[in-house]
Amino acid sequence: MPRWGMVIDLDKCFACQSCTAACRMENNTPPAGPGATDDGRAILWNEVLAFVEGEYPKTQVLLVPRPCQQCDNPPCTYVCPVKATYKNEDGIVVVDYDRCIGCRMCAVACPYQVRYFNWYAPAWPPALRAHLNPDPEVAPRPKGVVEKCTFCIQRLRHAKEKAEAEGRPFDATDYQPACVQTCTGHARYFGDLDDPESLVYQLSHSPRAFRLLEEMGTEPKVYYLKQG
Amino acid sequence: MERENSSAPAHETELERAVLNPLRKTTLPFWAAIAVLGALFAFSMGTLVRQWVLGLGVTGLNRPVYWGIYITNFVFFIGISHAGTLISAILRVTNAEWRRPITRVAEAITFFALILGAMQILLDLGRLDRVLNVVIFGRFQSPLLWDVTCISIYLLSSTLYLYLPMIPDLARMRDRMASAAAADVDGKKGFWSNWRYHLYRIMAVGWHGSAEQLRRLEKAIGLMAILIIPIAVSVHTVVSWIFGMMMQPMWHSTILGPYFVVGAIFSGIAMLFLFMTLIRKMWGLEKWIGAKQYNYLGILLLVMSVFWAYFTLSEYLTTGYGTLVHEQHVLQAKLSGEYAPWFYAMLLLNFFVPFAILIRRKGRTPVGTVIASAAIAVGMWIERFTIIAPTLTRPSLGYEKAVYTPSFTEIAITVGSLSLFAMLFLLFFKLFPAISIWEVEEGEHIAAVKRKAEELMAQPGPAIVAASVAGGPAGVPAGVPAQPLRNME
Amino acid sequence: MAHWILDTAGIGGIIVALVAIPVLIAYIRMVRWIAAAPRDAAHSGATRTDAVATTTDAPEGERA
Repeated sequence: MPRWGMVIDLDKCFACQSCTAACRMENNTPPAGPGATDDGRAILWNEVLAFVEGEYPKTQVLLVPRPCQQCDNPPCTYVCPVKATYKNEDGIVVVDYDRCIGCRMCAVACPYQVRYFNWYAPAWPPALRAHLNPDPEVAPRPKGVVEKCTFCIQRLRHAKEKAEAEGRPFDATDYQPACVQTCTGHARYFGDLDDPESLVYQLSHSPRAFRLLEEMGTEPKVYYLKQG
Repeated sequence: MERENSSAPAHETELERAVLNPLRKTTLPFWAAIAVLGALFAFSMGTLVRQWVLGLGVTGLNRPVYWGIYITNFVFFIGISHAGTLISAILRVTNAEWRRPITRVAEAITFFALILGAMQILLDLGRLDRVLNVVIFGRFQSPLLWDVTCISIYLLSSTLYLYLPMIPDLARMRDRMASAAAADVDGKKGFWSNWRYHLYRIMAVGWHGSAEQLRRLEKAIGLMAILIIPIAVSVHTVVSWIFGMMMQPMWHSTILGPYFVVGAIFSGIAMLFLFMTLIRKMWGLEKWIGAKQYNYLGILLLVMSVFWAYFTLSEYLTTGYGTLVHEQHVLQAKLSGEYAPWFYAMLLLNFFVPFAILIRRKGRTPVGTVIASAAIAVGMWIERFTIIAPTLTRPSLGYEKAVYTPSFTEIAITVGSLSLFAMLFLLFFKLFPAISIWEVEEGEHIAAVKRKAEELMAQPGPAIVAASVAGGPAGVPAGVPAQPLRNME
Repeated sequence: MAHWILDTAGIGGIIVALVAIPVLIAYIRMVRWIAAAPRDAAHSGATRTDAVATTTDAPEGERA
């Protein structure tokens, strides 16, 4: 089984946020509006975080796109009382929207805060509603449940089905999440971390490679290449 | 004193009259209080319905502050539930006689606090309609399942522990009302006019007070007293572990389990003071809930305050002396950030004010302890809040400092929950005696027998033999053998 | 196996039931045991709802 992982090159990323927009269109996350976003209610499975250090004129800003880190040791899955969230056989941490009771313990447990909660029933302005992704895997979630980035698991399923329909073995390069596909700066890479031939394997072993909060032992599968 | 109705026999003791009087008549101020509490509760239910319809968006919660006031209230109420355990169980096990008039109030507080605590969790869920998933799909690695297990056991145990010592009193009331019920020979009055008699009769499970039955009851109560202590400790420990097991800064602390247990006992005693003083004043029970209770319980509250301060110091000093970055951010939020006013208020209310009052004997009076306890009740709520919110506003990634502003809905539901708690408590004691009559009588009997024994031991030799030969049950001092020790006629 | 017990959905509910149901049954049996206690031979007709000798039957009237 491929161990799906992502590498994001912070030298190439210029924070255009196309990844965030593509993720929203692919996964049907509801828009919150500026007021609610200021209140911390936005649902953005992929978010570009701004790490600001220092004071003007010596400020340093590091802009980091942050999907779910898809940890191999996910603390969020340990605390779910109903196994609504778990790491599946593809190594992707998924949420069962039909079982989630909305206790938000997983959301509190995640050291990266990648989990989002449906505070209200989702709503879209007409223009966005007309462009919802019809895939049933990403049907709009009901109010009261947790959701988060799934490395576009619906695309994985499609790719496997397509390979089977075409009578050929499934190859790891057949599938990539929407954010990776869209990235304007070609800063995001995706593939099998265990395949020595793959780009993500080689990049993840680069001296520039690091992971967020590595000391916490969560073993995230999203690697970053250090800026500069 | 005038009897209110024919069910009060002429030779009722002063204790019985004082304790049973509130069950016989209700004053207008009482109904006014119930009306006010009921209105607050009803209003809060309206806001809760709105929350169910619209979603948790009506709260001030957000990402990353996913837990706030409701979870604070949950921990707070479960904490208060340790009142009964400490007073009723520990003091029973250690044979502290002064506990007798206040065990009923303490056990009732535990019972209703547990119910309110369980309610708080339910109204925090995003999908309350799926709550049974916790049983059907329950996953035992989750601390929430540990909570469900321990709180269920504690609820069952505290219900039994409230009920068992009530049985002789229930039988007493059953028998007092039996004559009135018997007069209704042809059933003209029907069930509902005698409903209280039937309630007591059923709940008294045929109690007839034989020596064997009393022995069995005492044995069961004694067993429950011993069992309920580790159960109660386990409850607040696992509640603390819904924070302690997670790797959030200043949550992942080994001290959290014991810290929460100490805090629970602490806030439980404070709640006991508030409620026992209330009913003492309302129903004129000063003769039985008196100086001894206020003095000794006040000393216990003082000791718990010192304990709490010690644990708090240990936690904050250890965190502060280190340099772990994530923890320092949370610590600074409490010491100098937007949570500083809360933090310092907590120290004042939980330690400095109670210590100043309770260290002096003159402070351990109804007035002094009520002030100290009110301070502690507020201070302990703040303690729960400042454990939960600051950590969530300073996530480990460290790129943001979140803000949590509780909404009107959350405040309304908090007020409504406290109102429901008080209301249930007061209504409970309109139906059941607020003091365990038989246990106080038992205590008075033991005290009388001890006094008689001391009197006899103070007299010269032959009088002891004469007394032990001539005396009936009341004349035999406890612990003195029936035959004389030396060879005397 | 420990991981299976901790991780499988539904086992948690079974554990809660396996703990709570015996406790409930034990408590009910405790109450029934108390209720089933035999009456005193001397007082078989009457009931005593107070635990100690009262003014109605102790000759010395030893009451505080």
